[in-house]
Amino acid sequence: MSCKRIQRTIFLWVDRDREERLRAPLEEHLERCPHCRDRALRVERIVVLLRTRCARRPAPDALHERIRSLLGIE
Amino acid sequence: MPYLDALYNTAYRLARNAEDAEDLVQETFLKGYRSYAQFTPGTNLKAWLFKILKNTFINEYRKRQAAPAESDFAAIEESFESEIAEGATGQIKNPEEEALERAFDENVQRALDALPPDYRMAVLLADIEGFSYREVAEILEIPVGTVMSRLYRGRKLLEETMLRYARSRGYLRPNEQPARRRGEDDSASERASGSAPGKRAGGGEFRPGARG
Repeated sequence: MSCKRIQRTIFLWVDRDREERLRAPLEEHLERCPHCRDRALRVERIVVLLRTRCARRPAPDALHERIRSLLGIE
Repeated sequence: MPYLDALYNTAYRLARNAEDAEDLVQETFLKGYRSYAQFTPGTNLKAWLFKILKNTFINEYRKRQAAPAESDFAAIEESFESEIAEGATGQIKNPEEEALERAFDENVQRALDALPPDYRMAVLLADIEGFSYREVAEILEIPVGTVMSRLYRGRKLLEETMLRYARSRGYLRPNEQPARRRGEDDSASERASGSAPGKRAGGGEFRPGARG
């Protein structure tokens, strides 16, 4: 598989969201091609930072209460 | 209330202020309650509520927010595309890694805010709420290939923004540009959409070249 083709499918690898038939040649290529492996690492890094460093913001209690009241939920 | 915190978290990042986020979530629940007969039991309630949130945001909030015009988004994308067309990044260096982490801790909300709304929604839903490609496609009512394209570009724009921030704060030397290589094709291929699986298997530990 060419580097160009690999670059187009790296996001599938990063998301662990890929089919077996795509994964095997992709991983084989990444194992022997530092260029594409580096590209994959960069995309992976951003995804990990987004997942781990974006603080979640819980809804205020008042909003919970307001919606319950509007919907008539005790 | 099911998914209220998740909806609020996304609403806040879309609306960019607490007052609009609260109104957006309240309206989402009211619309969901009124149209509950249209929901098919056994299907994805969370995705259904997020779709209502998205439509409410687009129809009633997005238009009155100070967001760049579509032509600006096109310009951003064009400049971004030409940049990646010049080549790809080189080896990851530890100082860059650390600088990027620091930049994320300090500035990720502003960087997310600066993303074009279409990219921001895809990134929020997939990377922060953990929806699969197919769920994001269902919520945004776009093809899976478009989801992947927006995710790819959104993530790249975020990386560029955070590296610029890191340089501006002195966490990276101004001339410490990631090395670029020629000939790499970074465009997210919508051609892959036909074969894209729809379910995220979850973020495992990263192992370059790992099999299985």
